[in-house]
Amino acid sequence: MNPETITALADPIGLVVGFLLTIMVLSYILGDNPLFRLAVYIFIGVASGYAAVLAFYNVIYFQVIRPLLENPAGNLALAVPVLILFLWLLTKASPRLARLGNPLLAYLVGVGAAVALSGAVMGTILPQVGATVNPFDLSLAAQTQSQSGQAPGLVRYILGPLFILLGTVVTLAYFHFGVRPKGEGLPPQRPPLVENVIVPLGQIFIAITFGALFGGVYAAALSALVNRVGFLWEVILRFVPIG
Amino acid sequence: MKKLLPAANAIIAVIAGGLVLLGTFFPTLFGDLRQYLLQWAIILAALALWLGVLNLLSVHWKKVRQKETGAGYSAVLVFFLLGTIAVVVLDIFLWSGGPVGTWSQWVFNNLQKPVEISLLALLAVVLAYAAARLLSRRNNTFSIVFLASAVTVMLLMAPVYFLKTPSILDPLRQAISGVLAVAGARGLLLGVALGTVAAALRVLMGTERPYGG
Repeated sequence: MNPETITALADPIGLVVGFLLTIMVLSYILGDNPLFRLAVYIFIGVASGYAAVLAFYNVIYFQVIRPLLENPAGNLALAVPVLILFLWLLTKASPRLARLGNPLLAYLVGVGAAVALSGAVMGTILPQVGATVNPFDLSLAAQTQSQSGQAPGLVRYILGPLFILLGTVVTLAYFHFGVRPKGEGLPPQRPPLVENVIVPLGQIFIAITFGALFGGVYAAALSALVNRVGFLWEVILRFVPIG
Repeated sequence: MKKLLPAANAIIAVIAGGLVLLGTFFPTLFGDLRQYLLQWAIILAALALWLGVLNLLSVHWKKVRQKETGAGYSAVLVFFLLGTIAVVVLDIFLWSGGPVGTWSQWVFNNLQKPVEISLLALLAVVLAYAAARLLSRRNNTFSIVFLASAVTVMLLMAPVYFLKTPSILDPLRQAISGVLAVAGARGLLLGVALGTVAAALRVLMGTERPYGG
C-alpha cells in the first residue's frame, strides 16, 4: 500500500474512530457502562502518551539532547547531571528507596512555592486590588472618560465601582472564620455584624458569581453537545445514504 | 541519618525557593541565577512526568500480567499509551513533522479530541441533573439566587433565536455579569491568591514539608 493510499484512508477511518468514541462517551447518559470505561481508558492512554512525548520533545530534547548533539564537549556538563537526576528520581519508584528521592522533590516544591508566591502577588493580588481601587481615582476616571468620549454615568462611574468594592470585601470576609471567646462557658462566635450582615451578603455575591460561572460553563457544555450531535449526524450522512 | 535527611530536604526547599524569590524581586542581581534554577526545575518536572507515565505503565502492565479485575481495560490503556508514544516519536524523528506532524495530529484529532469534547458535552447533561437535584434537595434562598443568576446569564448570553431579547434586559445582564459576578469573582480570586501566599510562605519557612520530612 503506497503512502498516498494510506493518507487517503486515514481520513474516513479517523471519522469512524471519532464517531465510535463519541457514542461510547455519550453512552454514559444511560449510566456507567463498559463502553464508557473503555473510552476513558483509551483517552488516558493517548493523553498520557502524548503528554510524555511533548515533555520529552519540548524540554529534554531541546534543552539537553540537541545541545549535546550540536556541541558534545561543551554541553556534557548539562547532560551528565540530567542523567544523574533521572536515575536519582527513579528511586521514587521503589517504596524502599523513595525517601532518597525526596531532596529532588524538595527542590521542586521550593521553586514551585516561590513561583506561586510571586505569581499570586504580581499576577493576582496587585492587579485585582488595583482594578477595584482605580475607579475611585477621579483623575484616572476623567482621563478614561475623555478618551472614550462617553458621558459620565451614575451606574458606570459611581454605583458600579461601589458595588464591586462592597462585593469584593464581603466575599473575602465570608471566608474569614476567626471567632472570639464570648465568656466563660459560652461558645466562641463571630462578631454579630459579621455573622448577621457581612456573611449573608457575601453568600449572595458568591451565589451570583457561581451562578454566572455555572451559566458560562453550561453554555460551553451545551455548545460541545451541539457540536458532537452535529458531528454524529455528518458521519451518518457521509456513510449511510439517506434520502 | 533519619533526622538529617528531612532537615536537608527542608534546607534545599528554603534555599532554592528563597533564591528564586530574590531573583524575582531583584532581577539585576539574581535574575540569571533564577533563570538557571527555573530551567533545572523545568527539566526535573519533565523527568518527573516521565516517571509518572512509567509508573502508570508499570501499574497497568502488572494488572495485565496478573490477570486482575479490569485487566482488559489496562491492556487497552497500555496499547494506546505505547502506540501514541510510538506514533509521535516516529513523527518527530522519522517523518520530521514533530508533535504537530500529520500522524500525531491524526491521533490527537481522532482519538483525544472526540473524547475531550464528548466529556464536555456530557457535562451539559450532568449539570442539568445537578441543578434539578439542587432545587429539590436544598431549596433555600442561595440555591434560588444561584440558579436565577445562572439562567439569566445563559439566556442573556445566548438568547433563544426566535425570541427577541427585550433591550430593557441589557442593563440586567450588565449588572450581573459586569458588576455583581465581577465583585464575587474578585473576592474569590483574592481569597485564592492570599491562600496561595500563605501556603507558599509556610513552605519557604520550612513549617510545611509536603516533600516528606
